[in-house]
Amino acid sequence: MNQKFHELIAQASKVVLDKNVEIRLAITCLLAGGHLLIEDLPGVGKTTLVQVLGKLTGLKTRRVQFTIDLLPADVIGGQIYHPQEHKFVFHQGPLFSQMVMADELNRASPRTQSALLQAMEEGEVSVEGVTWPLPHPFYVIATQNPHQQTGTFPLPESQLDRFLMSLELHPASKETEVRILKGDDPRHLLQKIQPLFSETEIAEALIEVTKVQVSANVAQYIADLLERSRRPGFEGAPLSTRAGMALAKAAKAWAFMDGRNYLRPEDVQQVLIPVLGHRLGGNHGIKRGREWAGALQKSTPVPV
Amino acid sequence: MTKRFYSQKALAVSFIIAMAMVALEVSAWIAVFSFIMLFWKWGVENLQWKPLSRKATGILSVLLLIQVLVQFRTLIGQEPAYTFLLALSSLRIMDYQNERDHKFVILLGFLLISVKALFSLDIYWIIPSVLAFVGLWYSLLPESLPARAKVLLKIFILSVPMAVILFFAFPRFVLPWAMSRGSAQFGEIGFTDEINPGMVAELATNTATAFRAKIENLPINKSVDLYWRGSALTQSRGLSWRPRRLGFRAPSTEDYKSLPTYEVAIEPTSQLYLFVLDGTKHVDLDVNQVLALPQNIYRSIRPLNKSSMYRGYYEPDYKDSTTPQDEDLQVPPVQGRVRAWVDGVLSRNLSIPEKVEELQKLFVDNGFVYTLSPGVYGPNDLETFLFERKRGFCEHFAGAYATLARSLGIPARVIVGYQGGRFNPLGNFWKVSQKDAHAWVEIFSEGQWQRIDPTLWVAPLRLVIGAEEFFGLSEEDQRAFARAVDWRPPVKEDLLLWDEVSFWVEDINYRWTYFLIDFDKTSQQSFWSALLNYRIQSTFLLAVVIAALVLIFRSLFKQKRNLNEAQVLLQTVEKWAEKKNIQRENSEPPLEFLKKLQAQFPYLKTILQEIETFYDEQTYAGKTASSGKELLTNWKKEIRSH
Repeated sequence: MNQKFHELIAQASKVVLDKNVEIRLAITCLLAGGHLLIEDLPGVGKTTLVQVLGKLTGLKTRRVQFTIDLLPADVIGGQIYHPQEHKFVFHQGPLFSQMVMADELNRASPRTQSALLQAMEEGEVSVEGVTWPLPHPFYVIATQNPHQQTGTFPLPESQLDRFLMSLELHPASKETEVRILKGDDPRHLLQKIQPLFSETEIAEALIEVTKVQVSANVAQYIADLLERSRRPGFEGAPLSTRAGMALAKAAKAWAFMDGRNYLRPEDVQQVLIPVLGHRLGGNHGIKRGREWAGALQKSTPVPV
Repeated sequence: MTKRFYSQKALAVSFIIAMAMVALEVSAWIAVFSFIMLFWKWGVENLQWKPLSRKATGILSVLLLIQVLVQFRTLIGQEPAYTFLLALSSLRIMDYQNERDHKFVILLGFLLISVKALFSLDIYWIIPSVLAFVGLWYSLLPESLPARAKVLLKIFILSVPMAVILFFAFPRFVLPWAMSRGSAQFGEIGFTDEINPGMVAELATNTATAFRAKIENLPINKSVDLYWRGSALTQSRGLSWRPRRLGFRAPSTEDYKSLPTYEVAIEPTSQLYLFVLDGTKHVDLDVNQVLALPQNIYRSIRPLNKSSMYRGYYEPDYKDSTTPQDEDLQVPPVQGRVRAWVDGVLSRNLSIPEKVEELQKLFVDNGFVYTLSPGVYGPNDLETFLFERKRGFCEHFAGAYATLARSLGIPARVIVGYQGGRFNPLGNFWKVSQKDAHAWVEIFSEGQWQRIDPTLWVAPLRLVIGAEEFFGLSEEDQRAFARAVDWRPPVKEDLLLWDEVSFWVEDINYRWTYFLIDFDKTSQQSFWSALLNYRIQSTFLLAVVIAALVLIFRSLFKQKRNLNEAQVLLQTVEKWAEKKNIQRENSEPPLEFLKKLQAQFPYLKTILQEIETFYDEQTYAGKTASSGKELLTNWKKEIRSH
């Protein structure tokens, strides 16, 4: 199983160049049952990443482009009148997929944003009193433009907290860019990619991840991290217990991908910045938050 | 969260013990008040009674302060301060609600115990004190601590060497103001310098120990011969007598050093009296200088504020032949039947011994009753006492006798002090308690002052067996056997088990008190000067105190985790690496550190890998597979071989 995930990473990095770590984190986030937030400039490969992941995992993937005039019904779906049968029938929106890419989430109005966020939190949507369960697994990869860009509605901290991880996709390296500019765009590979997983395999992996053991030592480490973030003098926003749980969840998925059924502090450190970055940043932005997360990791001793 | 006093069982019990111990030493009203407060608090917590508000307790404490000031006219001194402390403690219990009160109450508890230690050196109090002390410590430790008793034991074991060192090395000092028992005119423990009808009887209801004496080498061994002289009273008012201001007497210049001696360990009295046997030529007091007064009276020049020892030099065939003065004959006018009796004796023109015989006949034949509750007499109520009620305690007999003697022209004076005591055959000492307080008479006859004890005619048994045992009898028996005299000091074979136990406890207590009294600043200094010089002592003391504090704080506050074998092993490796100038970064996970070492020390790669696996399994995977001992020895072998 885990070998398969490495295969997945290897294949995906053929399409999305120079992003091994980010690909692995994106899969980790999926396996931890969380949702991913990617913040970066347009055109650095966010969409490609999602597409290749969707193909390889065999999950049903949809992409929603968020704009300022997008309405909740455009995401969730709505009741449509069928004249022949004289009744309203619910038409599922793009949200009813296993992997949803919410592109440029912070360009939509808060009302539309929150429609998506409810779905992320509860795994179901309610339309006119009827609750529709979303498919399983349900994985949202949202992207957002940096604050400075025009036409953004920043996500409030409480909503940021709903994302398990946040990533920055850096521009590809110079050599890669030269390669792409010469016309060797690896995106054409997308067409040829075959899914690596069967329908149920990913769902089973999600269950396996929850069985990863957390020793007292590692739990202590996570608690120490939380405690240190709450000390006076620490610049970032104090971390909640939920943040600690998120950290453990993500670390478990990471360890699982390594083929282990127990956690090491290393696993925690691998996912620490993505998991804590957007939580510590608050309204200072994810960039600052990631810096603070790094500082937090540096200053917190790993228990012996 | 509000805390409940009575659900903190250890705290409640030990605090009540501490309060009770102090309550025994101060006025009764405050004891009653405190226990009403305790009971009230119990009602508040268990029967939903209305508690006193903080405002009310605040006002009450101010009122109590005023009451203490009114009663003692000062706040300085043991009794007023402790009375107030006790009152505050009980009010604090009423306020007991939260963690802060909890700590405060514990602090008060410790204070109460220390206060008790200032009052009494008796070993009996060690048991309740230690109980209360342990209980308070126990409640001080956080409830979340799983092994409170164990931690407590550890603290005690750790503190024993410290306590011993402090006992020998900590400078002894006495704060006179803190030690003074600024209490009422004559304290319960104190002694009275004048007698009014009923005063000695009042003293004699007190069971407290006055002093303990060792008189092994003296020719005195019967209770009936032991007259402990405290003061001489020379101003008569009938039944009531007062002392006169006495001039100084030049200390005895004769060589007393060769005389037999006896030792007295006296409890703190805040007074000057030194009780001596008749015939004492000289007294040595360990703390203060001694004043020798006329009439064979000895006083300390400063109040005895702590338990002290003194030594009396005794001359067996001592005679006081000081010529009596005019004032030894002064009497208030006597009237009525007393006048008639005096006139009757005087008219017969008798010699002095004959007059003495008449007096004795009066006391022997008239059916006097010796009792602790003689009823109330006025100071000059001779007539009522002698011819109507005929009930009295020693001061009545002594006072009346001396006044009558003077009326008959015989110089007389009343001596107050103690008589007898309880002999402890195990420790060979006499315990003299307040019950043994006594008054007797000296008359000048045949060229010397002679002791006359009218009580001996009325209740010889009291003098023969000592007050403690006499008053231990029922009142009927006291009367029935008062005139029986067949008694000898108990020997070991006579003792019942209970007596033996009580003598034994008393003996230990005596030794303990003696040890504590004896081990004062001087002995401390000589102990150290014998061992080291003073500068080394202070340096040593400082070092020990610091070391002990560091140790105690570390053991108390350092979070000690139970490290598994792998963690111990890792620490060994870390220490080794430190010597090679490689340190694990704080945030560096142990396994990464071990990998780094593997890269740096290829020759140790195998063993380090083993350690890494072992650590990973034990600490993170929670497997308790192999033992790390072997690995540790291997590791040591490896690093030694390179």
